[in-house]
Amino acid sequence: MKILIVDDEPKIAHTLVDILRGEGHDAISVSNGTSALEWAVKIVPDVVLSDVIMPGINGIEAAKEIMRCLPNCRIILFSGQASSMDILEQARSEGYAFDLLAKPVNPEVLLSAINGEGGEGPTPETP
Amino acid sequence: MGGLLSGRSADVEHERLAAVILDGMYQFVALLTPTGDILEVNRAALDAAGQGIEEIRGKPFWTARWWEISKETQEELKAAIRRAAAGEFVRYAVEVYGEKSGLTPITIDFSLQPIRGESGEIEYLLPEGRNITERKQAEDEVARQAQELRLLNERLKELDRPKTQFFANISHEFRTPPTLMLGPLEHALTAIDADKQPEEAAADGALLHMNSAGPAMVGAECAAMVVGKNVYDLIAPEHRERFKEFNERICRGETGTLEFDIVALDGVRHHMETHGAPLRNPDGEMVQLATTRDVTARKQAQEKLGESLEKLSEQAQLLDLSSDAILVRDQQDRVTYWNRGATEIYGFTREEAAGRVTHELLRTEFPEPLERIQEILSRDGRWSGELTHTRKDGGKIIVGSCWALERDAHGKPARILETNSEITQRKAAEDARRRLAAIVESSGDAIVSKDLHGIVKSWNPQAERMFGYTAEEMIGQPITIIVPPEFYSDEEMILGKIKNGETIDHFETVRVAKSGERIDVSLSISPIKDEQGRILGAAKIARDIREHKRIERALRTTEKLAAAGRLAATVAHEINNPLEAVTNLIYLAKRNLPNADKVAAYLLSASQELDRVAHITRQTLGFYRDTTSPIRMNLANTIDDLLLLYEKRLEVRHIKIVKQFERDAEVTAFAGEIRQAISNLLTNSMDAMPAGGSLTIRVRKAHEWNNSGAPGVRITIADTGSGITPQHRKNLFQPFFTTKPDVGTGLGLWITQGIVDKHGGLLHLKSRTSIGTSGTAFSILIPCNGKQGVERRSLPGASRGKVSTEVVAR
Repeated sequence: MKILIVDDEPKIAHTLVDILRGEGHDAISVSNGTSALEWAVKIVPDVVLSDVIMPGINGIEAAKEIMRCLPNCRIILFSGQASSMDILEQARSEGYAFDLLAKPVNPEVLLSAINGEGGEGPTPETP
Repeated sequence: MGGLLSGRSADVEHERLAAVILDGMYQFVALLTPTGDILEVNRAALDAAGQGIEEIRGKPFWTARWWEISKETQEELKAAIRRAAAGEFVRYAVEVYGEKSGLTPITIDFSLQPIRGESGEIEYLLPEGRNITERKQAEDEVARQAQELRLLNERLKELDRPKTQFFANISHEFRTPPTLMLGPLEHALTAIDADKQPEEAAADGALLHMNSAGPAMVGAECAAMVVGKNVYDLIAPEHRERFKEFNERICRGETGTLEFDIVALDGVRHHMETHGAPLRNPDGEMVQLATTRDVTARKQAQEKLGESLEKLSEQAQLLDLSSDAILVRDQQDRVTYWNRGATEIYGFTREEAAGRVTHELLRTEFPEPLERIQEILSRDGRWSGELTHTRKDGGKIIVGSCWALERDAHGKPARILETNSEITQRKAAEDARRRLAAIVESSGDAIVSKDLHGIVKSWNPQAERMFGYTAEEMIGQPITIIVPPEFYSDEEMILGKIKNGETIDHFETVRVAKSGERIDVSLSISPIKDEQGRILGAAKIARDIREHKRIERALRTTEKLAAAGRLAATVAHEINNPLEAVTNLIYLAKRNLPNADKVAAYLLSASQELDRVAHITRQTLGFYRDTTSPIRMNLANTIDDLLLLYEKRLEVRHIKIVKQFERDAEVTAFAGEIRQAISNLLTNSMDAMPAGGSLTIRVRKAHEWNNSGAPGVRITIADTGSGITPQHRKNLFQPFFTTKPDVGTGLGLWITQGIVDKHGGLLHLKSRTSIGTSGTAFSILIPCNGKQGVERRSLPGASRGKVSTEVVAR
């Protein structure tokens, strides 16, 4: 699978690329939302794995834009900050349903989520 | 004693008014309750019964002297009262003790009239009685005389039957002896032929005889001028038919009474009352013997008084019940009557007002020229309009005034009845005062008034509850009873301000209850002024703010928790990111176990991340570990630690930090609280620069810039944000004031200030909103000798005054 990783923390971005490549995925990483939009359009990934709180465009704004351009792309968000939940709630009220995984994420769980086997993150439900 | 004299004259006037009503025929006028209890009785009736009003007021009417004549009379009256109370007008003749102080019986024409109030309910009974003894005696006398004549006539007939015809022909001579006998009667005594006597010159109603009082009554000089004339010629044309019927009835053998008018020979009309009795003359003809008297004067009085009786008798009793001012003035506008309502409205007593010219007394301001008013009054008999009057106390009031002109018997203006009902604010003010009194009584705040010497003048129920002293205990005592000795100077300051007419709002201080308990109160004090604006004392509202203080403390705790929560959120990000990296690195190490170099690199990296976590954790613990006593702390290091915590946020927001630290600046303080105060200012500054900017942090040893000049450390935190607008600036230190409702609790600066106050420090703010040079600088000065600073309690209410803000705006 072609996977785009977005995180402003280089150590996280690089280790995730290593892990996913080790599982045979085609993974690349960028460090902010703006770059994520740019590269998503270029490489048309199957999955975007993005941090939420980042300088510039946050993960959710970027994810919304990517969903519009690439309707078939799956988006998985992960975050270490409680405030991410507020932003996610806001997105849900606008009709966007994203998985959100809490950092630190066990790589096994992350891989299951990417393989579409359901992660530990909250499953969005529309009321 | 002018007052006494004028008082008496006012009383006399009042009585005279009443006397006018109760004069003449009306022997008896009273006012009863519907159940027959006596309210008022006129003087004539009281005198007649030899009783005073005090003896009988409030007692059943039938127990009074008049009715003691017999048990039957009393029962009859009771029954009459019941009927009148049911709305019936009751009238009957009755014998009562009515003369010579209740010793002599008289016959009265008695009536009981129900008087209804505005609601239609019967409110009073008005008994009236007039003495008809005289009339009854006259009637009896006529009957007796008629009987005598009849007997005489019979005897004459028997004695000299043959001469009967002769006597009949000279009938007037025949009647000479009885005429002589009856002459002294003051009433006209006449005999009128009722039957047809064709052989006589006299037609129906020929006047056969008249006694000596008669001619004067009809304007004749002697009886000869009228005897033989047809009596109908004298009777007013409209009464002739009635008189004829009456005459015929008498001649049929009845007796009766008739009132009628005659037109005397001189053309003057008289009203007559006649009592007639039948008399058979010697030749067997029936004639009418009548006693007639001129009741013109009585009738006039009766008519006039009858009209005004009801109104006046009620007024005489009720005038004083009216809340309107009712006054009577003579043609010179001098007050001759002044009711209780007038006293209440104007403040002048009846004694003070009597004899004064009303317009001078009340400084009347007329809506139109007085001449015009008088013109209307004399034309229409009444005038109404609005007048402005001045009360005794100098207050002006507007009244709706109604004047009625009363004319005397000759139609000349006699006096003016003036009724004034107040339409000004006085009533409204009084209502307001009543409502206010009710509020004061029921207020949840202690409301107390005191004079300029600090002596308590009033003390409401809540003051009793709050301070434990009753109104009786406190009124007349100095207010300092509830002031703790260390705050006596407050009291002096308060009285000083009150004397200058200033008010004091929300002055937070402490008072002592009777139990010795100290009560945190917020005082609002206003001067009490009289109508001339002179300051008489102070009204003080004390609110128990112990609960408020408790809530404030709870809020501070809440804010500490909120701050902890915010800190946790910040820390979470700083910890979760390294943990994410460590998790990934360990996973990779496991997957690459055969490759020792790779495993080593992953583990080294993981170890570095864990160091980072450990550092943050240490900082954080230090940040929130508060001490129970002040400790020596280095402010530069404290700020460095804080900045480390916010490093990421500053970086994300592109905020450049400029540090100007004197590294050896130390204070003794509650470290956790000082950290929180600085942290609050730092986060505010960061929030003020969402698009980046520069944050200058300065730590300098300094001296307090007030009188004490104590050494301290000044920390200045200056941002290049948009600045604080003047309208926000005044609310900045209020709890829950926030310009960031989504993230702020509105407690940060309030907490910060509380912390600075607690340390005896000072908080200073400069802000500028002009574009290009905008920014805000907060500086706090913490005294070096923190311990002393901590222990020095600031004066209650004065703490908020320590905030100084400087507005630099263009």
